[in-house]
Amino acid sequence: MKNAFVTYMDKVQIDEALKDKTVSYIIQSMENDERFNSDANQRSEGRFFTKRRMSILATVACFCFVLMISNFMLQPQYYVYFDINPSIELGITPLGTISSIKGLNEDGLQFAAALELKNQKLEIGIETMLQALISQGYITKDGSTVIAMTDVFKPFVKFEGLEERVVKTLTSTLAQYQSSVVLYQETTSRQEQKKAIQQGISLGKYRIIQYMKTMDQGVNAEAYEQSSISELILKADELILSSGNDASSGEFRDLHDQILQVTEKIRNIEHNSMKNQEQTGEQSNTGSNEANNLNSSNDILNPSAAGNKNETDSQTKGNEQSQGDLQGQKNTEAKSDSLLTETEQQTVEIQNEETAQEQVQNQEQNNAQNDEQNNVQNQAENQVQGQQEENQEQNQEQSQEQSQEQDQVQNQEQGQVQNQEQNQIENQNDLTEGINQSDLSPSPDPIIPEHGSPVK
Amino acid sequence: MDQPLIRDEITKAIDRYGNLVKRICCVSLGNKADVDDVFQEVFLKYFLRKEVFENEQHEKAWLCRVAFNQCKDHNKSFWHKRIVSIEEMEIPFDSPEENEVMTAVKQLQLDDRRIIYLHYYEGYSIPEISAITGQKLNTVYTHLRRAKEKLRKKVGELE
Repeated sequence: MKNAFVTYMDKVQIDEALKDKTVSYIIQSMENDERFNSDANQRSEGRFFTKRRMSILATVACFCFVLMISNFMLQPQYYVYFDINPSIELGITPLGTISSIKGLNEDGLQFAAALELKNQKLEIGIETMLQALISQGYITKDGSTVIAMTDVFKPFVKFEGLEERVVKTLTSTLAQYQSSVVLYQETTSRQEQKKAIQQGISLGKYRIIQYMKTMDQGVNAEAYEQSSISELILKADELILSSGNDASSGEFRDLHDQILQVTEKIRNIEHNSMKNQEQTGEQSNTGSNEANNLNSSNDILNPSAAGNKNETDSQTKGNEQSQGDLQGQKNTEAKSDSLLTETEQQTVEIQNEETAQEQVQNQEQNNAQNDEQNNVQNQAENQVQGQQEENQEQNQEQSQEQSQEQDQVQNQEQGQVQNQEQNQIENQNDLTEGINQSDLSPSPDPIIPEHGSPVK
Repeated sequence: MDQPLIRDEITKAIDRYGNLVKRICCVSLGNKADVDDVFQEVFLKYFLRKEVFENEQHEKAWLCRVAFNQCKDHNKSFWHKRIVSIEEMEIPFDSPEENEVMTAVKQLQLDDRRIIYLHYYEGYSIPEISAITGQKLNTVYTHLRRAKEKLRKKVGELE
């Protein structure tokens, strides 16, 4: 067996063709390899990129790449600044989670410390934040609160959709809590953000102060650091009007337009709120007088109407509520005016539709309440009329009884008088006819008419 | 680069070790095209090597190890993981006994084939095979014993 194996292996010989092929292959490979163009020492030292080293390098490169990507995806690449007073900075990752929340003034520091928004989804975090702002009274329901939303993307990075998600969550949450704000939105650069951080103020305020400085060099930035954003915007508007700056071009062009629009909205809201207060004052006075008159008349005419007093009170409250709803409708109209950016217009249209539906519902409710009130009034009037008729009947009966009694008394008196006259006449006759008889026969009993039987 | 000098050097090396390398390739592979490819790659590595050989035995042992490893790598590739019949080797068998023995050897695992070749054809001892293959002495013994048992079952005693 071994011999068979050895003899077979002996037959395995290299042929000339394989030999030539191998020689040419090796020469060609060595010509292509630069290491063989230099001397032998360099040849041995030149082989740095061996397979093993290449594989190690590739592994390290892949590991670094994965680290970079994970670091990039978990670090905030998008910052949103909310200036409401409090001023808050939210750092948002490309995955749409909140990675940091920072307060930028005293209120903001307290507010941010009380909130746990880290690693939450963008929508949930903003909803929680707005809920806290509304509950703590930072956002009022009259729509006069100004929210300056300034966002910054890191250089070379702009994730589409994050900005829209923030605005959409903001508007939907405010609509959910029946609140409205004047939203002012601007996107700025990373350099501006760094300058704002150096000055220790929020980005929105920094931008407006910078714009104010372009109009008036004497603007003291420190004086406005603690001002609210609405105060800053109104001050900037005054400066625009006084300086006659049109800012049709330049880096502050969008800011200029937004300041003008926001100022107009704020003034409209103030005007509307004044109007509403006046109207509600008048309506509440007239409504309360009418209700008091109605209640007092009901109390006098019918004691049972006092029970209806509560109903009429509740109706007047219902009227006040409906007036409040009307105010709410006006507020929602103001709210729809207040939302500024183009991206919000769709949501504003949805809100308008909702407010229109609410108006229709309120009108229906008012009509139903008015109908109920009219019914109650009619019932009260009917009751009053019924009582009057009953009283009249009672009076008639009483008068009849009184007249009957009077007649009876008169009849009795007349009867007595007649009896007395008759007795007198009879006595006289007795006296005249026979005084003598009085001695013989006893005198008859005098006729006394029975009581109650009138003698006519 | 002096091309005629290099060519002479390559030719001499192939004349000296060509048969050894081709036999190792024939034992390890079953296809003539694969044998030619691996043969060329082994000699390219021989000329690209960094290390300096101490003596001829060292040089021969280095070539055996490189040739076996190259065949192993070649067989690892996906499209070569298939059984190739001995008829593809283009080397005719002179007797049925040769056919029987070579068929039995080809059915062994690569490590066992390597040890059978080195031990029975090249005449290396077990420690030498251990030094060439880099395996432990006991491992080489185990492989050799197992390979002999398998061959004995199929073709009878090898020695």
